[in-house]
Amino acid sequence: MSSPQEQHIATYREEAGELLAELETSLLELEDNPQDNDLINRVFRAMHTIKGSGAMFGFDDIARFTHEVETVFDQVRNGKMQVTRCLLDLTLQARDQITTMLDASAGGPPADETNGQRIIAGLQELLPRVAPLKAPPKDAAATAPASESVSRTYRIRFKPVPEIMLGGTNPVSLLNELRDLGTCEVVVHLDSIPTLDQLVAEHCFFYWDIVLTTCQGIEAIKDVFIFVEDDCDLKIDLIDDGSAPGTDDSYKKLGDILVERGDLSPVEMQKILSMQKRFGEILIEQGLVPASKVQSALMEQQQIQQVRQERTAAAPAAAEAALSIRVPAERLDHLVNLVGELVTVQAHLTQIAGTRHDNEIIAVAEEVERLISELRDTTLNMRMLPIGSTFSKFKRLVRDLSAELGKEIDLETSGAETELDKTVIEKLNDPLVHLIRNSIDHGIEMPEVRKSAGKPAKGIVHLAAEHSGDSVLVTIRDDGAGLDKERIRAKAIERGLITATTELTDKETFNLIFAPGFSTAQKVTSVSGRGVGMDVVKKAIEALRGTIDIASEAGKGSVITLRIPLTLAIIETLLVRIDRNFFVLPLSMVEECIELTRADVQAAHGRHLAHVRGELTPYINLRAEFEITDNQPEIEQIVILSVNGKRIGFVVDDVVGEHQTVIKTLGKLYRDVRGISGATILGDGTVALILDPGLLVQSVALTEQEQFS
Amino acid sequence: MSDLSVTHSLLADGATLKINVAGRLAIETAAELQNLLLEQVDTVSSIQLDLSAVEDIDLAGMQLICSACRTNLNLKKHFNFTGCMAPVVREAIGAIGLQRQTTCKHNDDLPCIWCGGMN
Repeated sequence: MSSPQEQHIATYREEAGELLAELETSLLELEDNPQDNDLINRVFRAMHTIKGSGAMFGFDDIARFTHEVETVFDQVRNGKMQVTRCLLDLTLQARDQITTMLDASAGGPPADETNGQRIIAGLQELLPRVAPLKAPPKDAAATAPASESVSRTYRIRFKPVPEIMLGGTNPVSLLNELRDLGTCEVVVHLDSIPTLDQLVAEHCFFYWDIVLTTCQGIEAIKDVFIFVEDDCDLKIDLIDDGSAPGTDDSYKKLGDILVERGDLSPVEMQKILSMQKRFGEILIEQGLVPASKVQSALMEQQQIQQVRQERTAAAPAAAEAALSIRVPAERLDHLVNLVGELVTVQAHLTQIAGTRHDNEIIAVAEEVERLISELRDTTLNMRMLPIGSTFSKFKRLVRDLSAELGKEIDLETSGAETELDKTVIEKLNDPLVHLIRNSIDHGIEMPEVRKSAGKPAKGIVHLAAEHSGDSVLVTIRDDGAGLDKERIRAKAIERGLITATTELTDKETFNLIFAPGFSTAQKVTSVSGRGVGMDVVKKAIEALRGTIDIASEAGKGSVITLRIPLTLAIIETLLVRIDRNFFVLPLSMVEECIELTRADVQAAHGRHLAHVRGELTPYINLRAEFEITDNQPEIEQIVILSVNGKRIGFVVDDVVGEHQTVIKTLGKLYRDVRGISGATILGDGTVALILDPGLLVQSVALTEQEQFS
Repeated sequence: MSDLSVTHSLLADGATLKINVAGRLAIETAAELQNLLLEQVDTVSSIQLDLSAVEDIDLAGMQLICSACRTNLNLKKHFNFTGCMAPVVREAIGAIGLQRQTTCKHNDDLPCIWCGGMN
């Protein structure tokens, strides 16, 4: 067992790794929303934690380096510096540098110190020149301590001149800019709108009260109105400077607000106050203040109260204890293995209980069965991780690659919360990297080519994950040029994969790119074109029991769909029997089961085709395939499966039923057996082989081809 | 974006005018609807405005409808919406800050028609 100090260091590495991943995601998001204060704070916090705990566990170099980067981001956080592409580039490089330093401490190659110095120098270059100290401004908003980003609340009355829209200004877009600054409530006033006969349709008679809570200063608000300064009445008041104690949830009384705004005179207020009714109601009743203005004032009251409540609530939330614990992956793997064994033993127990006709044992067996199925689901769920962590890595990949190739590409993702088994996610990483690289390099065209094709210069790669039955569909869609069918065909003929006369459907043509060494790229780039790839991708996906499917339309783009099983440990299957041998077929592929009599076989004149409701369905006789000759029954069963979108039957003696299959890999000796992907142990200890219908169909097709050629 | 198209028909009761507004009701097209409303204001006792086919509405468009609402109420006539309001109109209502405007001063502080009120 390692010493506590070593354990702490391991924990730090793990945590820093997570923080670095979060840092990267936040930085990339920040690129799209450079104004987002939440994101800036997240970046800052991540760096702060890396630095702080780094220093604590003796990672002094990391702490020192991160400190420099953090200092620069502090300026951004305080609004003294803008988020720029250059800043983000350097920060991302800094993030990589920290990763290298972290790896170096774990025995990896040492980090390049000059690179670190270059990044720091670059960052410091960006720092704004320190301005000479000015006399403290009188404005209350600007005197608040600059080191803390405090949310302040402003009341804005914006009354544009009627002609404002004639100059091309749309007041609504100004409102939207305010909404971008923070929490914003907008109330429009309608009382200046004249009747139809006096209305000039092109004039603006609306005016607005806005209550805005923002971390940005009053200058940011003034900037919104900078181009309409002369075309409006604008009044901005600070109504909450963020310093009032959170416990005091009483804000100004409604009357005070109205008086302060100049909508009600103090005398009128006193008069109303002497009548003991709800203040707002009375005001409206008396016709002193229109309902809309009361509404607006009430809104202000609400928002300030809410802001102050949130401030109080934020403090204890941070102190709440962690609700999750860290468990090493291998312990989980061990647990899953044990559960797998347990499922097998339980099947055995159920079988024995069934033959003993002892009600007590049957009851216990059923209870055990129920508990184990729950235990199995829970255990498998523990290994489930959202695929999103992988997705965010690709954001960086797309960003860097598209810059390298001079293309403009956005990566969109959806379904990041979709959960998959941890092992599956890990094994999915490389194929996905490859497919995304392909989309970027072969798919998306250069910006000028896109423009001349009438497409936006910026290409889109869309990465999506969604559940579909017992699998997850991962799709990579791009809006690029699509696959060039002619070029694939020509290349395939050149390589002797097909003859010049072979007729292929689109799908079959696309499938050619999975042949080893196949590449249609005209030049080899650093990204792709070496022809190492799609066959490896296909192999990797098949190793996960998944399938890969390509659809493409010239000029419009391509969609690659991966169907991946949720877990590698246990699958739902259909148990079938041939003579005394048991086999299982993946239940998700099963469509139906029908009978096959000797008469049917004779009627087909030796062809392996069955009539199913007027349609001919080809079938594979597994008995013949596996050379099982004994005890052929009069009536056999065809299990019809959907294999790569086609219905194909598998003839067996008997269908036993559904079966929870714990997958056991076959030994090394059987590695090259095609069509069998593993084995499972049945309740009575019999081994059943897991069939891989896709590969079985392929190998049967190959054998037939050889026979006829 | 298509242009404004305004069609109107008298309902069976002979006193209600239904106006269908389609396309873009905005600063450059609002006057067309305004003229129709002005022409019809004396002829009927109730106006129903159908905004389900509006594809774009701006501040001028909404202001015109507010004004029409006010004008008709001053004349003790009914003015309201019919049909499903197009999603763009709903968005515009939110963008302009009308959703906080639950009552209308020109309408005896009854709920504002934009926000689901009736008159």
